[in-house]
Amino acid sequence: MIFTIAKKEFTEMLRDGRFRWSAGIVFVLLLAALLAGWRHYEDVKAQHLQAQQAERNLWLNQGSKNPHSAAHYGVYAFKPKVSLSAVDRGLEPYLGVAVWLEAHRQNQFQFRPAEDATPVQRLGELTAATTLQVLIPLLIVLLAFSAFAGEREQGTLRQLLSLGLRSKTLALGKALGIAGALSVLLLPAAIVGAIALLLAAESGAAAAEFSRLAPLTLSYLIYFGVFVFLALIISARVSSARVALVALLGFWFVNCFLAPRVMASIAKHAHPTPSAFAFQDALDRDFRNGLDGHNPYDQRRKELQTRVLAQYGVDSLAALPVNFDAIAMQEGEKYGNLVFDKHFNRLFDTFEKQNRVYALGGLAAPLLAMQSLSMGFTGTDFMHHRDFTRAAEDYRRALVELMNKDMEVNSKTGDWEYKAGPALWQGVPAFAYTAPGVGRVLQHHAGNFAVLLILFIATGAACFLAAGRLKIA
Amino acid sequence: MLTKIMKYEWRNLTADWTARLVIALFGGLILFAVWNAKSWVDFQKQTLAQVRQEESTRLDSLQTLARKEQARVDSMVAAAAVARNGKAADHKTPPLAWGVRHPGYAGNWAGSRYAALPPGPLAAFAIGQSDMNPYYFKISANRKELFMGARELENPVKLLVGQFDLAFVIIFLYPLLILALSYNLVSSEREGGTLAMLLAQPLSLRTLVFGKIGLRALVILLTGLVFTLVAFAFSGADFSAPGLWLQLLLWSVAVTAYAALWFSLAMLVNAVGKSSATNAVALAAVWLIFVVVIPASLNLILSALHPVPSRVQFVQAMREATASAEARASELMAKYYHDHPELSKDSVEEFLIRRLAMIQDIETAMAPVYERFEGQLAKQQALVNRLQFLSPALMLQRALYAIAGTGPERYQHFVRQVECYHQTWREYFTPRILQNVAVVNYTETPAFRFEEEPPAALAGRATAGFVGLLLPTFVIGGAALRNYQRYRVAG
Repeated sequence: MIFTIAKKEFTEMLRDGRFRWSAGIVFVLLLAALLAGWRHYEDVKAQHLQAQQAERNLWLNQGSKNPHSAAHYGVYAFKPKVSLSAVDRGLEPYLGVAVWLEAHRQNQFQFRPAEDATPVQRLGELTAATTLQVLIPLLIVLLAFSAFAGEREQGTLRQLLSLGLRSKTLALGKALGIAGALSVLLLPAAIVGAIALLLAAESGAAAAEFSRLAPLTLSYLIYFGVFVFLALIISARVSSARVALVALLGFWFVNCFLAPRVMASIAKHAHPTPSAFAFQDALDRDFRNGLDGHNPYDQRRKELQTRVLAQYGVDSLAALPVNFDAIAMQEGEKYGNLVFDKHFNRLFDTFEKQNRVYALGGLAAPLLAMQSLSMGFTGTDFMHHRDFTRAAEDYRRALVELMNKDMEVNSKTGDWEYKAGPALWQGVPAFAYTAPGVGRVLQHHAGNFAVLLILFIATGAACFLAAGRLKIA
Repeated sequence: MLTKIMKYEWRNLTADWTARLVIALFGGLILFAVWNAKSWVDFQKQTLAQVRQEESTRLDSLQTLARKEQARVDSMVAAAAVARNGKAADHKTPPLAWGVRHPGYAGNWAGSRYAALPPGPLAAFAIGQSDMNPYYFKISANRKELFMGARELENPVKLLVGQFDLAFVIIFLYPLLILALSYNLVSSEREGGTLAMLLAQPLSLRTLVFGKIGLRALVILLTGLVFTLVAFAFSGADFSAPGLWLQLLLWSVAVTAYAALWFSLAMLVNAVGKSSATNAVALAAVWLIFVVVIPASLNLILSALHPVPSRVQFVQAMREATASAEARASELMAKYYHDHPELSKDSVEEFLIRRLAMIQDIETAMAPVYERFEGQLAKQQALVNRLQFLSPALMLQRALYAIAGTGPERYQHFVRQVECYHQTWREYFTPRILQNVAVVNYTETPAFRFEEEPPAALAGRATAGFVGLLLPTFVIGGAALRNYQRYRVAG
């Protein structure tokens, strides 16, 4: 029986010119967005690969110079892209693409692509993800708002139920019919997307990409399910199809446009972001006065000097067999790393706290949870950015330490004329980075997934309850 | 007759609790939007105050130090003169010691000043691009990319989802409010059977439509205006700020023109004579296409037609220029000595000349790279300026950002001034470095002052939007009026 109903709904929808038109438009937009995303991914991947290579060549061929000059020259690290980012650009336009890794400083990422775009970008970008998150729910609303309300207005609901059909069966059949109509649109798009992904993924990486694609697809299906159930609930409970339409459109607007901005604002008011000026000021203060505020730079250096002299059993810097400047610099790096960790972690924690407040809104507006999950699985969320930041920073620290160590061992205190050569540069491994696996993404976004699942179960249950107490007239 | 219709419509509207609720909700959102954006403007102002405070204490203490040092050096010179018994001093002046009086030390590091872009008087209406563009730079004599890369900290999620400001409420929500109150202007009367009765009176359909639209327009526009002004006043705005009244006027005209366009669309859809539900779906589709689909697709088109060269390549160009300048440092230095005969060779440290020569070389190499970026962005913006007429949302966004001073134009105006100032800064310090002249008066180095754009430029930019919004309004409104002549009242 369920399938008869589903088939009837499905056929009716496919014959409906409005559905064909709107589904056609959404399909074209989805394909265009996928194509653009894929092209963008290919471009950026090629550029990054080439740039990372060029950067490595510059490093290896910098001739002979003082290791500390080399550490100052440093290297640039460029953030690689996960191929699924063709589906969801996520935060990428608003995160810098490159970071300069140099001596003494942990730099911020530079060059946010959105700064090289017109303000039109701020009205929203067409990606496969926004199409799925915004336009498909709208399509669901248009398909489902009249499911019960329409039949009731035409008087066919009474007829149907008088046949002995259970209203819960009717609800399930309708839900399946809507799902069927949607799949006509989504299946081809999914197949195109999966093939593009296979082509885009480097050999060997395809398995990792598909391990992300599977939960991503599942999340979207749950998200769509929530909308189907919600539309059926409203359609079953309100007096007319017109009211159902207006109510559902209102919810859709709140979900897609109002809630994200309101929640992001609330999150920022709850956990204020410091100004760059205050951030730098706090960093400088810790550098000057010591982390505890009572251990200024001069004192730290004097203590180090006494310690090193005692260690080598000599009484002057000139008598040291090693370069004290290099030791002091490395000590400064170690100290700086503590300061940077303290402040950057605090800043990033603030962002993550804000993101958690934002995600709370997912309970009322599922888009918020879906958006975070989608960015997570496509590797374009803040968690991935933070992971890359950490890897780049670890690389910087290792590089600078190697330079300082070489200077310490191979030159004497005060000797800034000492020069190292290609052997030392080659001793620094090339920067390599692999994005975190799907396990960590799941762990990080467990809350968002739970929110989506709770909504799915709750709306599903409510849908059955509403179907059970269907208003017939 | 018109006033009578408006009076009855007013009664209808006020009796309907959903209409009252919708309007109250709209007012509440305006208040929240202005408060939210205002807190960002206050944050910027507060930061700028801290920045200015830091600059003045730093410069004051440096000046005190420099004066003390100058007095010490003067007394040493005087003592030397006494020791020489008034005989002429050695011709060679020794190079200035690296430290507080040194022009290189002052101009490149310690004596830096800030160039700030203060928020405009209407900044609390549209956050625009001001959450991404920096609003102050710490200027030094160094290469500009070394100080112009500094950015305000912000959660990227917040940048992605966009800001909740008045511009958002008006661009996205205002049309929905208009459509919700007028999608069934005529169709509801016909469906209720009252249209035929009404038109049996000495009343034309046009007058009826005008009366209904007129009242709704009055209610919606006044609600918007009153709540906006109330929010503005309570947010502690300064009503005596220069240019404020012109900007408020332009803002109101822009919002009114936008509203007029949506009213004319509602009129046209009602004139076709379909059912209320069909009208609602049709108008919602128009909203979706104009406000969501066209702007989003435009982004794809822009990056396909005029892709901005990758910043990754920019970094590479910069790195290669730096590496090449370093490799040719001695050659560049020789050339610099040749180009600057005024240079007092014996008294200027070599590393300073090396630095100046390298900076010059890197900047020459980077100039075409910058040009490529700016050229592509200018092309994108030019295309947006033409394609904005595809969607009222695009036109309004551009106009509102321009009026609030948070769009690309005012920022570029600021950046150009900063670049000029950077030049001025160098012209002050480089000759002092080359001729070994001490810097003592830190508070008298050139300071930056932002010059606002002339009001005519602003008005001109906004006018393009007004024309783009009003022209289709008249065309659509005219078509609707023609259609009402052929309107089938019954059946």
